[in-house]
Amino acid sequence: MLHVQVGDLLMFGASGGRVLEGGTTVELLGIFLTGVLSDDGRVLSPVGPPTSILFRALQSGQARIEVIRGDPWQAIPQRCEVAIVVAV
Amino acid sequence: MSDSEQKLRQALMRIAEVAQGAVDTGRYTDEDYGKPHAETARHSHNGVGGKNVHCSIKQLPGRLVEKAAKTAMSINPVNRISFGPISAVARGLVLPPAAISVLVNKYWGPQQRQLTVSFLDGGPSDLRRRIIQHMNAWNQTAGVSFVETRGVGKVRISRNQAGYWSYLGTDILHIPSNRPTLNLQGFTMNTDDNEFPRVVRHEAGHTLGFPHEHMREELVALIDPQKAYDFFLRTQGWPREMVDQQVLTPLSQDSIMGTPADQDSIMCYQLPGSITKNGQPIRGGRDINATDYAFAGRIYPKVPAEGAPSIQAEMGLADEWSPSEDVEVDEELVQ
Repeated sequence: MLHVQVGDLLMFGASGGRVLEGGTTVELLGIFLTGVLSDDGRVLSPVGPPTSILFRALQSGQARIEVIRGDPWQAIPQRCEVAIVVAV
Repeated sequence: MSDSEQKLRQALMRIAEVAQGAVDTGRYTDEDYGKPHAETARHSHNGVGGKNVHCSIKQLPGRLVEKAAKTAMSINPVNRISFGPISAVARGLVLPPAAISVLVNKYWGPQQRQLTVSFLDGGPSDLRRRIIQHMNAWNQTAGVSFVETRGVGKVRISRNQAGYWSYLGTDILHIPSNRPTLNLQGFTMNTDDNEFPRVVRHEAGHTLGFPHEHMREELVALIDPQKAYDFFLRTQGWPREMVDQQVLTPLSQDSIMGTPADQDSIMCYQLPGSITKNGQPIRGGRDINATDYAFAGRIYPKVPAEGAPSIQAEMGLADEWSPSEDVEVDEELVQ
């Protein structure tokens, strides 16, 4: 169980994820592919599935999220449920 | 063609002129713009005794430019011009030779080369050796090899970030040196033997500049978009935009590997039959196949650089001859 505060951001190294319960308490901000600003000013991203998911604690309460890791194309995804308690 | 497309094409031409001017003279001034290319080139090469004296490129007569480009693409698909996101506008546009110099891709070039490899999170020597051995599977036909360095490698491997991924081709040269260019999440000596060829060789293929084969138009066309949206929402929680990016957006024809679409390529992911229109899965390659090897050897030839003919040494200004002297290229030679 994760204890966080309103406004906290939670980033997981993962290929996917979702909010299972408590969508008004925690929101999924997005599923992202990490990128870097290159030395010539371009934003470069690797070739591959998403690498990061980002949640935000919206208000006090409880939520349950699912974090999905592993190769989306081949293996059975590794799923991990995380309970979150958000305090003011 | 719309006004905006016309303007974009004109802008492209201008960029090409600027770039060619910079290449020819080491600088570019607006005075050069607007002159015919040949005049600009001659002007730029008249600096006899200057610091930038160098060889110049002989140009074919204008009537042969398009024909020569087609021959070049037939011989080596890498010679196809890549326009990236503006390909839709640029397709069909015949650019003067000067334009080619400004359009770059992620190809390492035909010279034989050794890419250094370092491991950001260390790892046992047997594992490091095994990973590099699999990366070097490409070296069976390609003139590119990977070698471990104790310093900071051009290829930097991590195993503690999420997923399997690699930056594409020469993009790795632009990644900050403290960041990985290739990630093999959780790989150890205990990882399944089959995963080494499937994953390590696949990611090394990206480092060589090879994109995903399942993004070829011919294979994307087999996928039912709605089934794909539903499948990846259920299994990964991906929004439609992510599915579009990962699965449904075909590669530009101008930037792809030059073989026919090959779902047994190591660069092709497996996709389930539940998301295809005909119910048949896209098989996906588990190892470098004969087509991959042949293509890699074709664009990264093993011919020693000193043995290759020196085109540069024979370059000069544009030649001209009578059309009656034009040479017909035997199509069999370029197949």
